[in-house]
Amino acid sequence: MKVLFRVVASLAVISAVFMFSKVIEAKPFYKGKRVVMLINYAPGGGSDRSGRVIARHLPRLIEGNPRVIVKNMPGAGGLMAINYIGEIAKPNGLTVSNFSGGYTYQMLKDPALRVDLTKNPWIAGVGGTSIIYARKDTKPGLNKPIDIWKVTNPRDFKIAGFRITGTKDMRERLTFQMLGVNHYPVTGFRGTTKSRTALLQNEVQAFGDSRAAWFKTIVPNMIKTKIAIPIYHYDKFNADGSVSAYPDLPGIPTVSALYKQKHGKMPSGMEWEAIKLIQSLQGSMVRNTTLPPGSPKAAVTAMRKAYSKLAKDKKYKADAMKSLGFTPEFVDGATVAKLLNWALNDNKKVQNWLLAEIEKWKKKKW
Amino acid sequence: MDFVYQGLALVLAWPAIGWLFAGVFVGLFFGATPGLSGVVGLAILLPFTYDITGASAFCFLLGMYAITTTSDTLASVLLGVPGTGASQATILDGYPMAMRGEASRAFGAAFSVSAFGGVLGAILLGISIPLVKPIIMAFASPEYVMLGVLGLTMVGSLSGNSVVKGLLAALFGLLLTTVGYSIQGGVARFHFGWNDILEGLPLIPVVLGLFALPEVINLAVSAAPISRVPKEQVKGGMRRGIRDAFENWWLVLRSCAIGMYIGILPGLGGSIVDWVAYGHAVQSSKDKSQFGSGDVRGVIAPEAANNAMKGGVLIPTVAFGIPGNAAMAIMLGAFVIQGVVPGPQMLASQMDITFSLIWILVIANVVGAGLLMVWGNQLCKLTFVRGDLIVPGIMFFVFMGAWMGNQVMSNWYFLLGFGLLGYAMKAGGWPRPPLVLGFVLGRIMENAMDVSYQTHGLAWLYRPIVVVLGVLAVAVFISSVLGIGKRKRSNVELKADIGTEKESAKTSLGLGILGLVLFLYALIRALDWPYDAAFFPIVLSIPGLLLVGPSIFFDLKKIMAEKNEGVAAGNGDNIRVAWMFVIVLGVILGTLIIGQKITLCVFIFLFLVFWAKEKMWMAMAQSAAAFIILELMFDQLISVLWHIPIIDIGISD
Repeated sequence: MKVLFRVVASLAVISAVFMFSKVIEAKPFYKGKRVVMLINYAPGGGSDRSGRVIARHLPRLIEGNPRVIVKNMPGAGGLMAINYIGEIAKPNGLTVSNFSGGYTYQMLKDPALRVDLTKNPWIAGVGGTSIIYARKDTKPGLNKPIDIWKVTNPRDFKIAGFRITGTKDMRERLTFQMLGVNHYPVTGFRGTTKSRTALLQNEVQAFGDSRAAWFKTIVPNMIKTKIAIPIYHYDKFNADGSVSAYPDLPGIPTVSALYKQKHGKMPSGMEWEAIKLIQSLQGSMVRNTTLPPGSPKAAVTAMRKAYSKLAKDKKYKADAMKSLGFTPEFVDGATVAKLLNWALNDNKKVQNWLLAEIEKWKKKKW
Repeated sequence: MDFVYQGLALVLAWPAIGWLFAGVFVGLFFGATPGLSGVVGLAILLPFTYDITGASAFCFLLGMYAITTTSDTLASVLLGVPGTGASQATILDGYPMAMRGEASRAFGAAFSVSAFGGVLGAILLGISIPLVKPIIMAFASPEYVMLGVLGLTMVGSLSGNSVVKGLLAALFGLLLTTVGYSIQGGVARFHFGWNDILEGLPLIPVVLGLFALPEVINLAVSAAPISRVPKEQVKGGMRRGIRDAFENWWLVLRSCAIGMYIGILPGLGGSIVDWVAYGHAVQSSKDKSQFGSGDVRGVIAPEAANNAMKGGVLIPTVAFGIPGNAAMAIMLGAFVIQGVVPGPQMLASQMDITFSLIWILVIANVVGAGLLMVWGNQLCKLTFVRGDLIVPGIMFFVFMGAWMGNQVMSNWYFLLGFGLLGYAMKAGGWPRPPLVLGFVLGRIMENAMDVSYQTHGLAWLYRPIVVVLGVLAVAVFISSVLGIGKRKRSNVELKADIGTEKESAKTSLGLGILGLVLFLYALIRALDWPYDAAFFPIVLSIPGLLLVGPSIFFDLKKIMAEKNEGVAAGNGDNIRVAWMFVIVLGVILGTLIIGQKITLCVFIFLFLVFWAKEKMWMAMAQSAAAFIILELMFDQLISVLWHIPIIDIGISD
């Protein structure tokens, strides 16, 4: 009897301890905590706006309902914050990124990037495209996208850009080169504001903008006022290898559609492969979210769950529509990681070609 | 006219008017605290406006933003620390006025013209919108280059009698802007593998280092109050300052015009406006002898301009959806959240909203200036407190002000480095304002020059406005040179900077030699780079090398003359100055090891106990107050990213 009693009592104690520890463990990782969302560009821009909309809804969707505050850490073309997350931020789950770009630095082996992005525990990505638009009064006059082939003097069709090695500039140069359009890239504009101003002043004739800016700024101020027309937007590259247009941009041809309109066939060649490579990444992770490498599994899991809910959340979608003019499409962290690995490790030929092409652009006299 | 009243009705309706007052209170705080600013305030407050509709949201945000360049005068005048980037020039005469016990007078003048400037800027916004489109369209990259050149001609006015040193300082300021990625992005210039400077040197730590640190160190070393004049002997308070504002009405109007019309050009920024207005005040004055020593006009001009600018930057934002500056980029987000699309429709079907913005600027400026006039006199009492008692508090805000921005340790390294440079420049009689002017203009000019050449070739030089601005620049430069000659013949000493009365020829020689080394290094390094990266550094280094020779020669001559006359070199104060810099270094090292919160509080305690010989309880109280401010304000409210130290006990989270 005594032995039986001891066994039962021990089992009871062990069970109680086990249940108690489960209760402790069941406490959500983020309960009572504060999360910093780091944005790698200055306040007011597209990255900032999209991040702030997300930050507004995340506390509700993360288990434990932590506080989420936004910090901007601009500098070095977005690299300062990317390096910070990768090598300085504590891997305790309390710093999360909402970055724009970053992957092209690794693709182009930029020495200023000090971390390996494939080691990040990716949470989610948001895809996007850009829309290129041009002044209607560009010589000899543009009424529809296909009119860009009428331009004979490259200096009549100047395109504003930031840096030769930036994603934006690379895509545009590659596209116009592939299309065979006479064009003249002007680099060095310090941001979208200066570039749009230059277009209004007819200092340049074309520029590319994000969807948020397109709907909220460009359409009301340049398209509806008949100053400019859209030329193309970048294709959506689907998992099965096909391309498609973005449904909220009807009437604006994709790059492939424009090419086909002129040349009668789908684009091909190294320019197209490079555009595909860059746009595959942009299309899934133009904004990307990660925690520092080595972050606790519980944090990664909780964040991924939260972003998965965010993608379907009605309040977030309504807010995004109000602030950005469109509803962002999310991809999960595992897909981001897979895509990044594919881009960086399985496309060496395209990367090397691109590096050589950039060197040519640097030396070219336009 | 209906829209004018409808706009006013939108603002005066409850709860919009309540939000306006709330915004003004918040703006007073953000402007007065060094390192915070309208941009920081807007970034923090924007999320709160999701739940506020229409006019209330604009009242809150714009009401806050409108007033920051009024309250920033507090730190500039009382402490010699720029409250925001737009109040740098105010220090040159505002702080000397405080040193003369005339802080109240400076406030009276500053707040009056700030209110007037803000109101006039708003009114001009209202009547100018249909008219300024041609101006905005006409000022492209080539015109920006020439505006920069015109701005640089102010160097003559800002150099006092040390024109060579002024030019060298300006060239060095311009050269500093070549640090980081070149315009085309291909070359990382002068970065020595340090990623923190790839985007260039940060403005606020540089300016705080150059201006604030030397003044604070002097305060600590002398232990004298900011005001060298006892309270009983002070003449002229706030009313005198208000009278000064009215007496200089023509300068006020011209400064407002400068602020307004520079403001409408996207991308130029508040930092330029106050320097240009100050330089213009000096150039256009017959009697320049008091500038740099506490001339009230040196406060009136920049303060009127930086408030009028607020109306100016709204114009391209509202009329074209092009943000006039970084703050307007955030405001644009606010417009979008509220369903308002900036652009032509705001001038067509939404004029009531447009006019509500104008009324917000008017009311916020008047209310804010009024509140500051009520409180200003109380704050002026700080200038009569023993200097070493207030040094820890000032240093606290200098450190945190330098930290804001991208919140990395390199900001403090620059604070220290430029603090050393600023102290040496002051001691050596090298004027600091031209360096800051060059620093502020350099990036804009190099970038504009590069884009101008790409888009227009050399034809950019023949554009009509470029030619007019060029002729104006030459005329201003000749006038400056003639003015300098006239002063030299009349033996009029023109101070270019705070406290440049005593000059050390040896320190000046040291700076000259440093300049020689830096310009030579820059030239040699640049020769290896492609054209687009090399052009600007080479163009700056060559005149730099040519001018540094005469500077070194004259300093050597002066040293020889002093030696022959048996002039003794004082070193008592130098040791205490050196110790102060060691203390600053100690704060940086302490932060690296144990973090900012602990280090700053320990620094305050130890400084008060051992340097200021203050009672323990007073030191503990100040230290505790600092910790509360760090926790509540910087951590909880602003959510600063703290440095993660080597020994982390969890306070940095």
